[in-house]
Amino acid sequence: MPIPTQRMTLNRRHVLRGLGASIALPMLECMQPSGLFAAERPTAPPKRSVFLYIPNGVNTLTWQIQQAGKDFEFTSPLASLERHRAHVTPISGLHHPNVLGKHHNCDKVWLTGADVPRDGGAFRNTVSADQLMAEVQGKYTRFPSLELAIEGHSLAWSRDGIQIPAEHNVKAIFQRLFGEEQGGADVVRRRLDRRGSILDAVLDDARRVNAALGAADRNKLDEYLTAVRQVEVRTDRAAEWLSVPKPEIPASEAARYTGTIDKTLVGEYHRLFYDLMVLALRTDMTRVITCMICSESNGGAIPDIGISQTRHGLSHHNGDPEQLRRLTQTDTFLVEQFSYFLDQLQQHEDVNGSLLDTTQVLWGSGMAYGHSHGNANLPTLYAGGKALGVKHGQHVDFNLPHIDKYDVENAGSHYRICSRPVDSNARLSNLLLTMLHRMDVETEHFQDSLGAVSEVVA
Amino acid sequence: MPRRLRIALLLILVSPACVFAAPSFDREVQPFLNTHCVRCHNDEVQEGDFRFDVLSRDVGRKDTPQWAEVMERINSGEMPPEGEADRPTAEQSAQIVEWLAARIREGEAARMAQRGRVTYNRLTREEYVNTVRDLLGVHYDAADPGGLLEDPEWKGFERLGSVLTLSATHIDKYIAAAEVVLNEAYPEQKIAYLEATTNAVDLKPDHPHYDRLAEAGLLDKVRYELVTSGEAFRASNPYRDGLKFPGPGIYEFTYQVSGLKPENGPAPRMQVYEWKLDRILFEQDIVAPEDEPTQVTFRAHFPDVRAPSLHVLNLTGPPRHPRSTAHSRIPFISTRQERAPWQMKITDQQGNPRSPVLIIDSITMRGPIVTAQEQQRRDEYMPRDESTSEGNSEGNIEQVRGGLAALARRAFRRPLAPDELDVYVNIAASELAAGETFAGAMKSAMTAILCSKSFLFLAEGDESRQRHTLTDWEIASRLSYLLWSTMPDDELFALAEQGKLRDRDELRRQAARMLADPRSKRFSESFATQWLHLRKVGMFPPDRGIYPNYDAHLEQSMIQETIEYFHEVLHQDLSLREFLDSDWTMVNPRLARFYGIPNVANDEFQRVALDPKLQRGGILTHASILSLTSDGTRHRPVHRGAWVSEVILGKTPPPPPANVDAIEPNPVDTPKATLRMKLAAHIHDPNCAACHRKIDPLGLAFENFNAIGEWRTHEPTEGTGADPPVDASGAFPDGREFGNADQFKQLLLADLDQFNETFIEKLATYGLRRTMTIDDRDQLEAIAAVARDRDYRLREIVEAFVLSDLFQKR
Repeated sequence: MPIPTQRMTLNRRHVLRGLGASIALPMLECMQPSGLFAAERPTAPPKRSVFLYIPNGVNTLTWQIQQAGKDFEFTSPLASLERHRAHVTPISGLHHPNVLGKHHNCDKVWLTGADVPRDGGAFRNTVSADQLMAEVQGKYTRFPSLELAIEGHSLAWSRDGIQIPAEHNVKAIFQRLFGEEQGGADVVRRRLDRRGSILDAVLDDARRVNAALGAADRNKLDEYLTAVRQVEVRTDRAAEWLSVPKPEIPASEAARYTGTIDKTLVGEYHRLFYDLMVLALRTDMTRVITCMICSESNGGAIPDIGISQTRHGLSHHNGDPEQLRRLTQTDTFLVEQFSYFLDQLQQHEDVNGSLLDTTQVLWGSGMAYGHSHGNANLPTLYAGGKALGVKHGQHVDFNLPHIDKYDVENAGSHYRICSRPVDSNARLSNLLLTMLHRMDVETEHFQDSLGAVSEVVA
Repeated sequence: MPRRLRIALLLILVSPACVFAAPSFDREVQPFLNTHCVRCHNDEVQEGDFRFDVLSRDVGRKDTPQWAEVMERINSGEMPPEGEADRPTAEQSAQIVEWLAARIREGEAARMAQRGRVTYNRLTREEYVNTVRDLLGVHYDAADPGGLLEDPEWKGFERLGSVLTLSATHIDKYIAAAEVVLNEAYPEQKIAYLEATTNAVDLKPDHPHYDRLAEAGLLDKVRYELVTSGEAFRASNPYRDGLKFPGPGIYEFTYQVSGLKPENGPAPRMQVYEWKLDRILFEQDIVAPEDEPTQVTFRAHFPDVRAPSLHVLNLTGPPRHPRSTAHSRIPFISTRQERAPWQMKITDQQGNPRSPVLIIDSITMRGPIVTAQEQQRRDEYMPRDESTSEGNSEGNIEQVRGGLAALARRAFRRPLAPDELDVYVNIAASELAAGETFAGAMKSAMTAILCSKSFLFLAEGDESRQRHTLTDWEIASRLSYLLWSTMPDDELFALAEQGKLRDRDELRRQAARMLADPRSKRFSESFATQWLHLRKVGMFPPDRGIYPNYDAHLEQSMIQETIEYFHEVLHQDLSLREFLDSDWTMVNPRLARFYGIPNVANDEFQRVALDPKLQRGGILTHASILSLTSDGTRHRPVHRGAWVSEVILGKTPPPPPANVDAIEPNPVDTPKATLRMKLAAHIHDPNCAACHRKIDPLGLAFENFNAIGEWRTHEPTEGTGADPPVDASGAFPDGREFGNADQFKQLLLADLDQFNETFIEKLATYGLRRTMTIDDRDQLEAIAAVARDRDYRLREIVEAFVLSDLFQKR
């Protein structure tokens, strides 16, 4: 069914009609894709990224792909990805050096790579890769980025290292993306104006004091000032987009997200989230999405396939073959949902090919061997993004050059690979840096990266 | 081990004060480096590009990443490398690691405690809620989805200024919160108090049993019974038949109910659940005979104008069964009434209930409830002549200024600087100029006040000059947020205004007054939660398969026991000893059942005597503490040891090295082994053992308690053969031995001064919202000395802290 994208609905008339006097604001960036300034800018295809997180690692014994390079076989939990072989790259051997052996904080630093204090001391995160992308790509869309969580919390962290809260509620997400502003545009504009003057006032008040304080002496007040200024920018941005109507979603489609949702049918529920993400991408409401699939501590039961334990519980399997079997079963289930997401992305056309070609997707965990909190050799799947210059079709393996071959029959030896990095240069930050480059973020480093992963670049 | 070395180790481990002794790099570290490190890492040879000669000796303050790396490499046994001729012993390495770790920690504490001319400590979420409530009489549901963010913590403490960050999202949420609060305080349409009552069941004439019951005169005797836990009573909104739910605010609820308790089973547990808000409003065991129903009353906040949607559940009923009642169409009158023949009987032959039964007669709701003082405050901030017409009233700017000044003075918790109010008055003025109503314009200005730095932060100090002692206003806030977790009340403000709060006698009077006030419960709750890390209870929910006894009610009861226990020690002015061991505890019926304590019927926390056989004295063996150090499946002796070390002994063990080998699971076809046995086998590496020997025994003392704190003598585990017996014996690093948790507690009691010092440091960290540093040592010791003189009584310690020099200093 044709749904107009945000990009296409945006034209000069809308802008001029809505904006009035404040036309000089940088929002004009957002019209770029409509061709308004085509003469001044190369018309690049839109570039999108999605990050999907699963907790507690996997059953690494059944997960591990044995062969490197093009002629690899998907292991059974990954079997559903066979149909996407040309669009996916499984990667083995990556890790975040800063969090080795540091327990359950791995979800917080999956996209940041920050150092977590070992003893539970004060933790200050750093900016996550998705937010750096949002800074560059987000100016074209109504929402610079979207933070979602089917369960658990957000993966996104601001430049100040503060978590950007995630939305869990499907209906609320849909409303935010496509719903009418309450009270209509005039009322909203009035509200935003009022908010602007409130922000001005508190800024004035804080600046006065800040001026009196010495430069080295105003840490927390600076933090406050920065935060308020950022809200001012957000408020301006919201005001600018007010004049641009949101895409209309057919009632039948909308009803799926706004009706009653049964969360106990986990598969359906996950697919609903994936569909909503696809909808947000194809209408160009945002180009950067993060989504935690299950929570690290108490989520991930899948009654659909007869599994009532949490993933955390299953990951502490204590070697019990039955628990291990179930863990593999949940791994398989989660990859199947991921394959469904890739199906959907592929089905929708975008400017240059399919939506899958303009969207790079990272799926993975910050833990590998959950039972002992081993977080080397992280389960990592990289998909899509061909139009961004991503190359697929092989299993990129950083372990094999050093260990010759895997021996999953010997659980202890494989668990060691999943607890201590085989190749200390194989850092997840390298992959994040690669993905940043694909999104036109100009940087030579990300956290502790040593360089981009050339194997996945066309 | 040479005797002297052993003493040095002990001093580091056991005494927080001694760690502050002037560190001597040259004596403690240099000889080790000279012998083991410098040969390969000097100005000429730099293995791994690393050299020592350029590193600062001011460890902890300078070159911290490098020193942390050194510590890490030595700790993991990686350095000095194998094959070196003269490798240090594990003990020697451990000593260096501990020394470096202690310095790095001191450096961190000093950085966190750094103060500029003005210290800005953001209100925590809890403090924000309490403060707004006192300010405007509105309860804000901060923990709801879309509410305020959770606060970050440092070693359990949630109110350290340096840790409480602020982002754009916080500001967004503060603005939204202020708007919600102000809209509730000043609704667009006046909201009138309204009471509504409805019967649980009102049969309509078309009901198949209407005529029969009408004839028998039983129509008004119909009640609603909840026999299973799978069923909810949904007839929920009493505002019906022409009555409209008034709107957001605090409401009082009264339910008339009976609760039938089977002789050998639990009482029915009533839960009132607001379905649309997804919030539990009330939970309590109900015991009341059928013919003498009782009334339960509680209050709850409704955030928005939607009509209530209340469900009642009986949590302790058996699971729903097709025949248990399956709520038949036959109206319920009494258990003595005949049931339909195909239905299971609720009672046995003697007429006693077979399972917990909850019976509902009626529900009453009244509100919104606004006290006279709250209304007076609201009116004071929003002066308005009710006789002026609605809408575009001119709005006298002097009225605007007066109202905003009244709000800002209380919100900022101090007198206003000249011109400070102008920015806020200007908002109201420009809103009025833009055609906004007087109330609307005022609300915009008030929103700004509630989002300003002076409201959101507790500021101490002057921006224009250095000042080391607090003003009276700052003392008022420090005291009030310490003991009540909220802004100062009128009495404290008045004393600040009169400049009396630096007077020790007045302070003592105020501390006594505030501790006697019910709001002091917030101190017990908040401080105990943060000091003992109670927020971690239930973080990893126990596996239902292994711990079928565990449920949300138990979890809540566990946490509450520890809080109530703290409150009892505080209010009875008992000594710190009670935290280590006691012959009593605080339980409700749920926890009593869990611990095996008989005869606890009333559903409230009550002090009970403990049978020594239970080994539950003190807080160390509270189910909460034993749970929070576990991971939901297994108990974790090392974590328990680290917790005791941190929370009771005031000593954070050095961090474990990265890259330790995983503990491999116990294969199912090998003989069963306890976690302790596996741990012992795992720590064969002397480098690990050197440290673990000091931490682990502090946790192994509790081997008799499983991951949810249940008593056990054997440890169920995977493998073949019988479950192995647990072993809770061990020895302190100084050699003092214990056989079980009780003996362990006695050893802790023998060294009460150490716990005293730890406790005072924690209290000061909480009260001053910063880490303690070497510079605070003398003042902390002075408080400790007073505590010793007063037999370590908790109340006296809190008072001594409030009266101390430390409390008056920035």
